[in-house]
Amino acid sequence: MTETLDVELSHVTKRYGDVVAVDDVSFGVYPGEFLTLLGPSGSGKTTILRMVGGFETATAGNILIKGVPMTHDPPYRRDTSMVFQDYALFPHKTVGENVAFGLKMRGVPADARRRRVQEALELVNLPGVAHRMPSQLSGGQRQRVALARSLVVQPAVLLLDEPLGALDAQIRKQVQIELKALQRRLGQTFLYVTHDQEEAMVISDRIAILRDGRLEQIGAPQEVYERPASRFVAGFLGECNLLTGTITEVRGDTVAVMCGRLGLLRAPATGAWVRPGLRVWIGVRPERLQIGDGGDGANTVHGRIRHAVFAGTVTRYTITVEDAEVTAVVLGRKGHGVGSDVRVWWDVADTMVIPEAHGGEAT
Amino acid sequence: MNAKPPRGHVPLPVSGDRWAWWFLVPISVWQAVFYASSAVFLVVASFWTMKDYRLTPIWTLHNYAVFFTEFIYYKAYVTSLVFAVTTVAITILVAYPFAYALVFVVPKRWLGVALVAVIAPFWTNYLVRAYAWQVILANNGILNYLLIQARLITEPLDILYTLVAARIGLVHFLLAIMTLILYTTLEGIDKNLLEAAGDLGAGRLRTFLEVILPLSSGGLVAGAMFVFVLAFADFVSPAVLGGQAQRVFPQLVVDAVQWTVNWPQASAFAVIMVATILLVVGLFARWMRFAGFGRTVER
Repeated sequence: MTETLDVELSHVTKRYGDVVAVDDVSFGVYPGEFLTLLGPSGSGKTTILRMVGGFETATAGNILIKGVPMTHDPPYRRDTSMVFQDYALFPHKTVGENVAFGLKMRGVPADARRRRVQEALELVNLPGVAHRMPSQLSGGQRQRVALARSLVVQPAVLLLDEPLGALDAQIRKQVQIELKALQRRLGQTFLYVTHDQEEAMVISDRIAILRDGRLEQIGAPQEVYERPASRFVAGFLGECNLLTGTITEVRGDTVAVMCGRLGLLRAPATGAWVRPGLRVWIGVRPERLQIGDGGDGANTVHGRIRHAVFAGTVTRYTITVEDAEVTAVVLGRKGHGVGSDVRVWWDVADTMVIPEAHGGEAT
Repeated sequence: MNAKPPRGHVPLPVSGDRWAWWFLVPISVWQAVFYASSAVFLVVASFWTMKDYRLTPIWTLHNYAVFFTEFIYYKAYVTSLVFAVTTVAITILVAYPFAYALVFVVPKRWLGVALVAVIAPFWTNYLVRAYAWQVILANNGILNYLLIQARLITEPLDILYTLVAARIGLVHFLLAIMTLILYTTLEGIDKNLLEAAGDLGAGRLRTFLEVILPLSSGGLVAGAMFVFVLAFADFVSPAVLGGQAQRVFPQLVVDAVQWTVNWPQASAFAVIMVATILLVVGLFARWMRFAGFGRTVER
């Protein structure tokens, strides 16, 4: 690797007694990248972030920051800064003093400090609150102050531990966009933790999906959404219709999968691991299913509508197809009633082939 | 939203229950009969005179004038003030590191044991403990015996029957209060704040000075207030351990009652003590309000 990574984890493991919180995780964060650690609670994402920040020490493996091994260094020696989930603003200091804290600890003289604090507060759209106490601000404002406090010290990597978790849904969406724009503008490297897959999709350059302390997959949002490496990733990143089957044939860039009574379904051959005889999952996102005529007849099944729910922008159908049940989400109002027989089809390109067991690449 | 209300703001429960007011009656009556009325009588009696060993309503300022004119009274008062202030200082210096260790160092599973160790001395009566200290601090006591055996000294130290001994006994008694108050305050500090300070480049000392100390100033003031009041008014340790050489003000109150049977004089001294305590508590409260969290303003 020629380019120096801002953060590099190699075979990092964290154990608490007998519990393995992080299990042999390796990945890197590129300069200027927005990398999100995504996973359900207990997946180890926060532990990884805390190990990068120096609040926890890895049981095994190495953590490099800007190419320098930092596995055992305390937080104050690391070129990282953390935005805490509950912001952790000093309640006895004004907003200005909070933001100035890191600069003061670094011995930045008072005038330079004052100027940089002002700049940082302007950056997060909060000019003129420097004299206020944190308790006088709203949740969203406090979140921005915490961000300014960390940004002002210009860390190599900014660590963010579910920083929007305490905000309500509406503000949250807006702040996501602002945060992303700010990160772009500054070219600041972000390592971000969230359990919200939608947030991860909106905000990230790359997403690392974790489960039970293990790294399941890392890649750009579209890549992990459309080419999930495991059934877990497919299900965690959004709704997914999953059918099990066996690969019968690999021809060129398509595979044929026999899915029981549904018959032969076709999908793009996404990896070198696909070969005849392998048991796989076939996945299709509900929004990629089409109801009615069309398609080239490749992936086409017939079923009966069991539920139809109009949800404003879209209509959700639950369709019984042979011995399976699939969900289709169609834009617009309800076009098919419950009980009607329909033809369901989808593009070969929209079909995902997922190894049945994780690590299927190795077999 | 989980926005926290400003510190010190306690929302009052909506009182729909008028009956709850009656819960206040027993304590109010008790206080009125046994405390307020006696306090008023004490103040009134401090302006009266003893005549033929009887408390007589002949009005005078003599009992107060004595305090300002007779050197021994004034001296005892100053001794008491110094005694109380130094006791506060020593108690803080001993209790703060201890409470700090309890919160930040001692592993959780030992915490229960440590807290019991703090509280356990309270289960022994204060007077009994003062006598126990006599056994330890006497010229032929345990402490001197050990020091001589260790060849650190050749002649026994004269500790017992000095204010040093009185202070030892009193500090031992008050330590539990100070420790518990400081423990609760330090325990209440959000641990994330310490991580945030470390993250922003503060080492242990800076984190202590910038975050822990200011955030525990409330507990320090409250603890100091408690300890001052108890130390200033204490006469057990000075009487049992302090001897008669340096007398503290509360001893003079006791003397006035027990030896000279001068109730008005004792009342006047008591009023002076109460006034002193109110003044000090008032100053502390004011300081607490002004200091806020002991913050420094960044300009």
